[in-house]
Amino acid sequence: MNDPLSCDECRELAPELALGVLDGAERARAVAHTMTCAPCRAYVDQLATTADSILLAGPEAEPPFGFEARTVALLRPAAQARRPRWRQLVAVAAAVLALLAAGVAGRTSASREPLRSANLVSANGTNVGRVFLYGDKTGSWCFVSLATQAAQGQYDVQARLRDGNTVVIQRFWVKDGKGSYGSAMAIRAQDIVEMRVVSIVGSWGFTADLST
Amino acid sequence: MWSPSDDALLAGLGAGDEEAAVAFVRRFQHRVYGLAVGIVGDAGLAQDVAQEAFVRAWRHASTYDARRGPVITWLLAITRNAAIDSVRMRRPQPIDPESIAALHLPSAEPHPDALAVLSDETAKLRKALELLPTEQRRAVLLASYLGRTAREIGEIEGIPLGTAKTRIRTGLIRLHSALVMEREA
Repeated sequence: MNDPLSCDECRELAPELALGVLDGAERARAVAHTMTCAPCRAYVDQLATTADSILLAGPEAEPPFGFEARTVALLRPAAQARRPRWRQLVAVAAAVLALLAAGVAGRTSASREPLRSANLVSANGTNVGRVFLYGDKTGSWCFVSLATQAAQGQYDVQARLRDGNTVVIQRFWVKDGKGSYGSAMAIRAQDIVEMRVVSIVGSWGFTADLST
Repeated sequence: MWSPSDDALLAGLGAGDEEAAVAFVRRFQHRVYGLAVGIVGDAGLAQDVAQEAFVRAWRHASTYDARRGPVITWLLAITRNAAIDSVRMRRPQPIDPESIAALHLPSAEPHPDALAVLSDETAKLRKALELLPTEQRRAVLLASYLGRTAREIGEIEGIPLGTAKTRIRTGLIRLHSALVMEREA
């Protein structure tokens, strides 16, 4: 079932691809076809424009009192102080590499350990990369490495927390099936039970179980 | 009174300009919060989702590409994704997709600050959606608003997978053709 798609087959799948609801294997094949077929790519783009516009038909509603002020407070540049600083990132990356060299990060460790790691797994159970989390009194960091199989495009790095909430940490690019990402986090690494790397054009992606 | 474009406000938001941030939230909050309420069906949760959507827009302002569509559709897509993340963990059964799309609700008077983002395009879109056969419209709305796959739509509607795929495909293509004809008319 991994034969390349024909144009007719791709166009059959184009509406679901444009809506971002195509399942993993079909999506990968359709995306692979559009990468090499300009007419099909243009067709999907046209449908995607329509698909995106459907949300304009959604309802409007008056937000609760104080919503505007509370939201603007979250958007103040001061909050950017929590965003990654290059030198800190390099220092923590060095620490992670040192621990890796010592074999410490090769296993998944308990959530109270400062450094945890787990394989990133696709929907069909294939290992596609690895996630590292580090958290201590000085802050929390994450590193994501995709080794193979990811379709080119932008992905959101998401963290699912113990309380059930999901937080988007950052967006990054994958090219030629590979990509890596590292960042400080405004959340505590200890609170994370699962990391996800999700394509921004659909719900397709990879997960790393950090619950144990 | 001069009013900055949506693109200019987003650029200001991304650059950390507080006035732009205030104007951006004021201009879009009714649509963002309205969509969040429509998808999650809970006012408190919708507030969290709407705030998360604005934070994501702020963080990812630099990734916005005007060639791919207007700011409002980009922002609503962010809102939809944040709402789906939230609702999938809490609500196994989807709410009625037609109510989310505000197709059978009395038309509310738009808030003055939202007028800038309401356009003929929205009216044409609602009209084109209304003209789709009900089963195709439901399939397209379940996919668009709730991120449901063909398999999930088949389970929700009690129809075979192939039928769900056909409804999505035919519905979106008809909608696309109707909007293209409307623009060219």
